[in-house]
Amino acid sequence: MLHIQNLHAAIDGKEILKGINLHVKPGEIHAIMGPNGSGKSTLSSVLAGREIFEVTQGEISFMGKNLLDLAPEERACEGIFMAFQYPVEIPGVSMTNFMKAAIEAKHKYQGTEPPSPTEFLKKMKEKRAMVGLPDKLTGRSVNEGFSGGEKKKNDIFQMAMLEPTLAILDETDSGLDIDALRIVADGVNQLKTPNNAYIVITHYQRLLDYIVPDVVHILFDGKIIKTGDKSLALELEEKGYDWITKS
Amino acid sequence: MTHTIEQYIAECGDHVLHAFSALPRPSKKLEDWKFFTHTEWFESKWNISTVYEVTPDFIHSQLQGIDYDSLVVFHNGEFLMQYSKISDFLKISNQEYKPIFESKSLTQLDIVHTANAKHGVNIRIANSEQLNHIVLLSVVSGSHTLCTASHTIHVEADTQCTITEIIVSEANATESLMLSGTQLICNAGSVCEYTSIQKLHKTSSIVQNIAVMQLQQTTATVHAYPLSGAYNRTNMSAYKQGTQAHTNVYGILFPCTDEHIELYTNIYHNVPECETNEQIKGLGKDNGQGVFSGLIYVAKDAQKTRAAQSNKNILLSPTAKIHSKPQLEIYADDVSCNHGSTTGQINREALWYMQARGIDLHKATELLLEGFINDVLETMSNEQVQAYILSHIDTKIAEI
Repeated sequence: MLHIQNLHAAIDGKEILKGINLHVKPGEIHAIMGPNGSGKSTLSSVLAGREIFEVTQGEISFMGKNLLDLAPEERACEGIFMAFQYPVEIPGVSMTNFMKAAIEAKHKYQGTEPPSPTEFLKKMKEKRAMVGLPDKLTGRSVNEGFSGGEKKKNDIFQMAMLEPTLAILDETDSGLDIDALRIVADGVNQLKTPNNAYIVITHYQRLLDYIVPDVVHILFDGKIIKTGDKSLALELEEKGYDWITKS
Repeated sequence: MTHTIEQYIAECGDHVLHAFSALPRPSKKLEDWKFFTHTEWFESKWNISTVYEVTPDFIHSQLQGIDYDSLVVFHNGEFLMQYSKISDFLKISNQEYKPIFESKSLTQLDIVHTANAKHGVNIRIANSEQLNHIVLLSVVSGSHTLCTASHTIHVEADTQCTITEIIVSEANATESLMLSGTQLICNAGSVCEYTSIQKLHKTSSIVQNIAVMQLQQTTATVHAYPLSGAYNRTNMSAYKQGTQAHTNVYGILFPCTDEHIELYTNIYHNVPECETNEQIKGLGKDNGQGVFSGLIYVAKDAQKTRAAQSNKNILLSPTAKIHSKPQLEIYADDVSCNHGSTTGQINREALWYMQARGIDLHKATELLLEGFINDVLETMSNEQVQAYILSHIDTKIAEI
């Protein structure tokens, strides 16, 4: 599904990613862990297509297409979804209008009929219930006046609505209390199918108790320095990053 | 036959010429007129009395589905009875236009505006059981036309009404100038929502004076939408003469290519226990220039005044400008007043967030800008008028 080969990326001339190789198959959950400043968020931004990052070397193919040729919105319509570490507030744009624009864009891109207003609202209601997003929030502007946890739930709600092929959760666990974490993780687990995949970026092992990864990668200084199964995350939790970066 | 402004004034009689000569010409030397050069207006030759035809079809096409209980039509400032619909609750008479309040900063343009006082139309809105919507439609025709219009609207005591004044120019009205004045007298206990819309040819200009006098326990809501024109200026003043007079002022400025759009508001609190809520949004595109200058004046006796003024602007290009001048002048000591002004660029983080959800940059910008103006637009109770304005703003947004 996703093949990253020797990916190098820089911001303002400073190289952050220094040769990433990563291969994700349908149905897999990959966790990427690493200390602050290792390049975890840069990797998710580069995959989603943020233009402030410059890809200086390497290739990314997604479902057989060269991802680097696609604009961010095209990547989203192709089925890539990034849950933000800090979801952005959009004053004046209601949740409903925002979601409607996103769904319509996806259908337009794929050349399919968008859902009728009734179907759309029904789906909104279903998915909202699934992630436990309070009803009152959908009447508000996107993320405006939402608590930290509500913002994260809102991102998972959007993911449920857009049904991506590849979802990247960029430190979705940061700022979440244990109950909110469980709800978010439940949402992710319910959305998992044999055909989609997840990249879960996190500092801590805690999230991986709820979203169990198939593969765990350790990112350090712009490179994946170790790959293993879920026990790697437990080992890391026990021994700290020093164990791996100094060895 | 064409006239310069001075020739026209000379023909209006000695007293008009005398008043004209005693006043300053709008220029960059005057604080309230410093952002635009008006010299050309005084050098140009204007068509002042040329008669043009206007068709009922054109008039009705300009309403774009806005329903009304009464329609009052003007053409180059003249009242057109045959195209108007005057209901029982409305009384119209010709009456010399007299300013309800003497402005401290008159210019020669004020004399030009009132020189032909016979144009004055007096409109009286009586109390009726339903909430009536009165539409004033003013059409400007002809190239290099200089026309003036003056209306005084009396909203009788305890009356509730909405008034929408639309000033539009025909396609042939190139390089024309409209000097228009609307006075609104809100008698005790009345609630009036007045919307002012000007949609002019890109080479034409307008100065629209709106003066509101409020007696006790009145609510006057003014929506100012100077939508287009080479120079489109609204001067809006409100004078509170009775206690518990509340004024709301909402407006959107959106100067685009070669447009200069100005909104000057002056709200005078002369008596106690009155409120003002003012919210103006601005968008600037290309080399468009906008000005918002808003004064809230609180006299010594106007205790317990509550006033809030906010102006927020987004500049969409490096060459667009919006000058913002919020002002509070307070002489009373027991008041709650605040004001704020911000000018910035479009929120790149929000655009990125929307792009990451599949929404292209153009649509994301549209959503963001519509969202920006929405809270101002939504204050309008008449949804048809709201849709009319939004369709014109959307056209401008779509061109970004």
